[in-house]
Amino acid sequence: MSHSITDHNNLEISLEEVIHKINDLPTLPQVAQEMLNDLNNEDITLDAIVEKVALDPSLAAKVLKVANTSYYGANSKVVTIQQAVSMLGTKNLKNLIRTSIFTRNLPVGHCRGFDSVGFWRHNIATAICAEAISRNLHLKHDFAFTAGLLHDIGRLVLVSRFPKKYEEVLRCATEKDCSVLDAERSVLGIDHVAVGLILALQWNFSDAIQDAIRGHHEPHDKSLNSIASIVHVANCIVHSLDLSDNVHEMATPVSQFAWDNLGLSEDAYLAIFQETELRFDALQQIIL
Amino acid sequence: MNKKHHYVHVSKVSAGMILSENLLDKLGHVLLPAGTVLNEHVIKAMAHHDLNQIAILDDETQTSHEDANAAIALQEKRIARLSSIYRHAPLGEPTDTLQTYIEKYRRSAAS
Repeated sequence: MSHSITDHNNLEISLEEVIHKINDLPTLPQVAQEMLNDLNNEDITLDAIVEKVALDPSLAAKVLKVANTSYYGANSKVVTIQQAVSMLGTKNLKNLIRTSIFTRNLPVGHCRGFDSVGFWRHNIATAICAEAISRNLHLKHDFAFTAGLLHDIGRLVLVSRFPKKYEEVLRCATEKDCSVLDAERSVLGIDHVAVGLILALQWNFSDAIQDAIRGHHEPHDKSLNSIASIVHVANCIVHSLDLSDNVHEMATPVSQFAWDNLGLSEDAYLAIFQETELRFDALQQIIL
Repeated sequence: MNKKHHYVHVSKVSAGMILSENLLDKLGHVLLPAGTVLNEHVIKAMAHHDLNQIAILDDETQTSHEDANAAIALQEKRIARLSSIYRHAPLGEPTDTLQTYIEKYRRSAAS
């Protein structure tokens, strides 16, 4: 091992190390991968999804619970998976499945100071917000939710593969009251953006998802898919709405490029805030 | 009746509770109509009929009052949190514009 984890002067992580460590990250289980692929297939029928959900008891329970939350406004109790699915609609159902798959299958590891529930709260909220923005812009971004959900995935790699070093990052961020991104760069010499990108390549995420990961802090690159700007602004909104329940929560700077790129009105933003909070309330109780 | 109700065993009903449905005897005759406020006299009379579970209206005034108070407290807490979240403000444009929108949103929900 070239770096000692107790050596505070040398906590830097090289790209090679990251690639090496990602290789022994467990890949998504076969079933989960198949399910995700099916979801991306526009032609898949609702019946086919219902069949798959019914095979997975914990997923089935979640689908029923969500359909019974007040957000979906059911007056009487939803009892069967079919009823639940027709209440939620294909899109919400797909998003629920994606969220369950990722929260269930990605390892968090033992890293003091890392709040894994807060991490998923932030990512789920960003997913919901990105989708709300995307809909407001009349874009047919079926991947907006997934992009929001996975934008910080590099952080999970760092936490699970380099837990001791990441503890130092979190301590540094708290001590200096700076963003975790800045702390990563100063302590590790690498950030969750670069690491997330490596994982995205390794796991064959689509170009759009890769762009969202690459551009969620610095979206001002015209070659990036517009989803990068959307996820960037969604990320800023979710920090400001305080949805991750983190005492150290801090507003992050909004890029002028992304802001102009979206070009949304004040009313549109207020509607997006509300939709994000309402849908987040309905979803987070079930998933987390 | 469409309002929310819960069931209370006949031995547990108390004065002041409101029937959410018509109270029927075994033959289906109405003993007491929906909306009746129970009093000691009525409760005693109920004992003579072979009754089991009684549909009682939920005390909505009380719960809605508590809900409203909790919502106001939560909203105030959220507004107070903004100064902590934006502790490094001003962050320049367009971050400051987003901040004003967020503040407006929090205050509009409170009023």
